[in-house]
Amino acid sequence: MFPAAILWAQDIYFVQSQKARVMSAPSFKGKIMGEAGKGTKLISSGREGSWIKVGFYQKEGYVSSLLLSKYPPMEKQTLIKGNEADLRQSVRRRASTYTSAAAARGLAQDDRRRLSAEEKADYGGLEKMESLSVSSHEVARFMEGNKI
Amino acid sequence: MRRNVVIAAAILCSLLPQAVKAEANGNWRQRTSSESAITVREDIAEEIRFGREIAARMIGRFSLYDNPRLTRYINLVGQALVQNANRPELEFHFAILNTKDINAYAAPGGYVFVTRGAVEKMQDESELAAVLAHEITHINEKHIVKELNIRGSDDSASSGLARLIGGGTESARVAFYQAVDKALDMLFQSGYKREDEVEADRGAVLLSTLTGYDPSGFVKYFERISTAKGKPTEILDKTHPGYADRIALLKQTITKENIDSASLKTFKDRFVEVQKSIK
Repeated sequence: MFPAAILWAQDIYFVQSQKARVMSAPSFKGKIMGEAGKGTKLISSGREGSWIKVGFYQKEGYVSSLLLSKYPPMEKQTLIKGNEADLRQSVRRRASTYTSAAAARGLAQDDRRRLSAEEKADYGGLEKMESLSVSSHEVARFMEGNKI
Repeated sequence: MRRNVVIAAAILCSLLPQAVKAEANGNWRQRTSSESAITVREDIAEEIRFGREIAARMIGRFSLYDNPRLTRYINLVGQALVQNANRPELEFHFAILNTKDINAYAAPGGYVFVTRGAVEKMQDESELAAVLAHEITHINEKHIVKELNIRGSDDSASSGLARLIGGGTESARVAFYQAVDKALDMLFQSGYKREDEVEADRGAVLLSTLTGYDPSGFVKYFERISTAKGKPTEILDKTHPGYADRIALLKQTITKENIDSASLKTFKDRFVEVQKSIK
């Protein structure tokens, strides 16, 4: 017979966060065995609550399921930031994306009229929001308790 | 033996297309393995485009609170949380909305807002972190994106037809803005699905804890704002489950996850110092 184990391989997970702590038990109170960096491939042998049991340096440990995915982490995606016209232009390209969603779940005409009257877009404010950035070094120092 | 192997291989080959199809209908990460990378990039780009429009409308409605020190502080707390989030493909942005309303919002693609009124009501950094973590979880779990089925491409026959008939036309623009209006209606009127709110509250506890913050700050914050005078929580109240239910769930999650609040940070002094900059 063809062994089932060949058909269904063990689960493989990849770390999505910058670092993932590997704990000795499926609990925040477990001992920290070490850290696995972003993109690290971990082989899982099960799940306990919100923790994934993984192999870690010939031992078994547990990582929060929040930090793992079955697929490698993707590169950061960014849009070319543009103005209102740019944003509106991008909308024109694809009818299919929104037609079904809006038709199926669309608002009543009165609701749309109300929202359109209430909501004005502020793209300048949006670009201001997007322009603020902090480095990972600053974040690390901040989490050590430094004042800002 | 050789015949059995051939039969098993044939069965495997016949099952694979179905497995791939099942994955394509599943979540976006599953789509990653079954469809081209271009499709996935399109999905994410569309999520960001959609989120940008919603974010621009939110800022248009309330305006940004002009306080560079507090804004930078909120970004530091937010980015600390994001380092433990599972959407490395997104660039997260954090801002304060200039309103006395007590609330926080998330737009798809990584746009997180907290109101000035909410920050005024908080007493330490763990409370702020929990509120931001709740919103980050809405984004991480794609609650609006899934509800409105926002995708960069759609391989269904009907949408293919729609693309041929209506692609690049005014109808696409109208459809886009209808979806944006629906998302805004969810944020201001109808709310997320109850299970999405539960997931966001649970996610907030876990994300706060993983980042080093005491998640019981969320409980204290809810206990305080549940007695707020006037109507600063009007939108929050009508779009979210009741405070008693949420507090019970948070306490249950903290206990179940075996979280030792005493060993985690609240950074009260630092928070109070920055909070003073609110005029």
